[in-house]
Amino acid sequence: MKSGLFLSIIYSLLSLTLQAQDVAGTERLADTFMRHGQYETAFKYYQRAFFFASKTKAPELYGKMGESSLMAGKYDFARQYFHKAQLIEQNDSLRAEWFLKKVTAVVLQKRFKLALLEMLNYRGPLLPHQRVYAEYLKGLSYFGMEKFDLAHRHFEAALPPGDSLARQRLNLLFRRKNLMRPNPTAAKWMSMFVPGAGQIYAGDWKNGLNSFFLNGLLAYLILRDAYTYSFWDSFAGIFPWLQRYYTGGYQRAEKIAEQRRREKRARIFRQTYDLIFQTKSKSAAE
Amino acid sequence: MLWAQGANPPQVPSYIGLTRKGMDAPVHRHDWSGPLRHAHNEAVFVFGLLYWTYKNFISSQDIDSCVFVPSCSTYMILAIQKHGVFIGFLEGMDRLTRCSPFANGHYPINPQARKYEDPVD
Amino acid sequence: MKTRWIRRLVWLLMLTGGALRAQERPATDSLSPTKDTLRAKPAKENLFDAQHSRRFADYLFRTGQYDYATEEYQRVAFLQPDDAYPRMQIVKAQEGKKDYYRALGYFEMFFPRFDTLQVPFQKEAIKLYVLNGEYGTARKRLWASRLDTTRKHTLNLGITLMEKKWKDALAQYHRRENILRDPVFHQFGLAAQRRLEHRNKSPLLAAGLSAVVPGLGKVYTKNYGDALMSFLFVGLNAWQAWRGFRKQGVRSVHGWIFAGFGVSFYLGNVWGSAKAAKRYNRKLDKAATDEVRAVFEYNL
Repeated sequence: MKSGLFLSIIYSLLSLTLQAQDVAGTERLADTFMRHGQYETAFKYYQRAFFFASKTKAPELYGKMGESSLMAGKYDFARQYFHKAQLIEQNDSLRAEWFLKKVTAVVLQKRFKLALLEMLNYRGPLLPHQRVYAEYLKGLSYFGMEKFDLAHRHFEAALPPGDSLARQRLNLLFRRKNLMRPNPTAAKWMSMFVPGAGQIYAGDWKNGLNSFFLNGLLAYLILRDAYTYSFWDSFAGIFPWLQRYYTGGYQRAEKIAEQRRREKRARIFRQTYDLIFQTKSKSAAE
Repeated sequence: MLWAQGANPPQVPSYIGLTRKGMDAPVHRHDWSGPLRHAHNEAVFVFGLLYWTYKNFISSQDIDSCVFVPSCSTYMILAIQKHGVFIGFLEGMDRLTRCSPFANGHYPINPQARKYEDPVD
Repeated sequence: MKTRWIRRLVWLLMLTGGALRAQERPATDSLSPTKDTLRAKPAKENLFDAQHSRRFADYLFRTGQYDYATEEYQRVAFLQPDDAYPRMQIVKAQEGKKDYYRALGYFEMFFPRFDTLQVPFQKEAIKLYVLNGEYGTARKRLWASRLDTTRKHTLNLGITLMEKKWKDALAQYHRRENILRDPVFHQFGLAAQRRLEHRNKSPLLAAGLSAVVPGLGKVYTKNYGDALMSFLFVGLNAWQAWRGFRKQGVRSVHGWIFAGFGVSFYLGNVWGSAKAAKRYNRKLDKAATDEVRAVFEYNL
């Protein structure tokens, strides 16, 4: 907030002194906003530059509008702008660049099948670093589609060549840990037989014990009321509650297992990412 | 892309960093202690405590059966905060009887929650 | 508070900057907005002068980016203070966002003298007053405006409908039914008739009925399902309480618990029946006023 205000003061003062606010100047201004993380503002200025620019600038400005939308979290816009940039770009490596960014936007929308389709259909040339990123994107798409063997293969291809330590670590990540567990269906069935068992299997002790004791209490109340009053009294008064919490228990066990599995996969994915892009020191990446 | 050209320290373009975050599993953490902490008298505090206990240990084990948004218990605690203990309690009890499949057609639908919308008024 | 003032100062600085530049290079006036987005222009031009800003603002407005468009039109409005177009566009941009409150604020700021305005602007003002629920002001402005008499009577009828004075509206309609030839006038008249065909439900009667038989008030307000549920809730709890008390007398915990629930549901249902009647009336009102509101919103 404060830095934003400060920046806007600086740029308003700049606009006083700058005489020629032509297309290039506007674009430079937008670039500066982009560097300072003000993506929405940058997008506005790119739009202005694009509106008045000549046709030759169109691919670059489309790409930049895509970048600012991507960073601002508007993935659908980003995908469309990158697509336009890719269609009219003349330079091969830049075209590949827009293409890869487009697929990034698609992946961020979690449309993994579409991303994979785009990647497999691409026939253009790629620079070495683009090839690494393309392998990473393919791996990521397979990972999102729960095809972990293929994902592993592509992630391995994206690792820095000759880094056998990273390769071993990646192998350990993908071979040792079963990414299909905890299994939501198994958790559901376990909770059907013993309330709370599925939650505990997924690693959620609080909800497991909670479910077990709640269902136990209700079962006890049914038995007690059946003795003190009559079977029908307890059936009409308490059984609906037991039914609710029993059903709720196994339904929630499934959801909890799903969530835990998602968290585990995210953890492994983060470690893979760190191995590929070497963002952390090797000891920190386990 | 500096990371591929052996730059030191390695720098990854920010849009690639987005993909690292993008795969994170969203965590839904609920904290139901709001009415408890902001209670302005003892009765509201007691109801806030009941609400917290219910949400933490009972509602968290229940099937997702309420047809409204906000859910019946949240509605009651909001009504109590707004109209006082007695009227708020009555509104909550009335809401419980309205919470059935018969609500169909009488209320607007909230598309995000896929439930009927019935805010406190 | 302080931040707002700093922002205003910054904004003023930006505008002054623009004004200085505009004086250096007087604008060659071509005010019709062009749709050519990719036209090549010679270098060294100022994209922030009035003409460019206006073209760009029109583009932003067309593509629904109302926030950005407002900013651009503000610059244009500052650079061309004699032109009403950018100021009107600022108001329209707020309407595009459905922010009628802010639209009215801008309108009152930009066009403070109502009687000097052109007819389309006067219409806009009346529309904004109605959509903001300021019916008294809207009516005053309507009679002071330069609209033709037919239109005035039509809009007056619309305002009466928006005030939910159905009988007054119907009387107004019948007074001029055979004189006025405006289709909207007749549409409004029919809306009033339709609304009066349905009688209001009395909250007091609904509560009374529910007090006698649980759920009867909800039958009266046509919530049949809710009526059945309240009857069952109260009835079952009362039955269980009675069984508890019959077996163990007044010391029965079972009995007291169910009695508590039963009484709570009973009282809740009495209160809820009154509310249901009010909701029933509100729903009818809304159906009628929505029709009228749509005319003011899109068809004025």
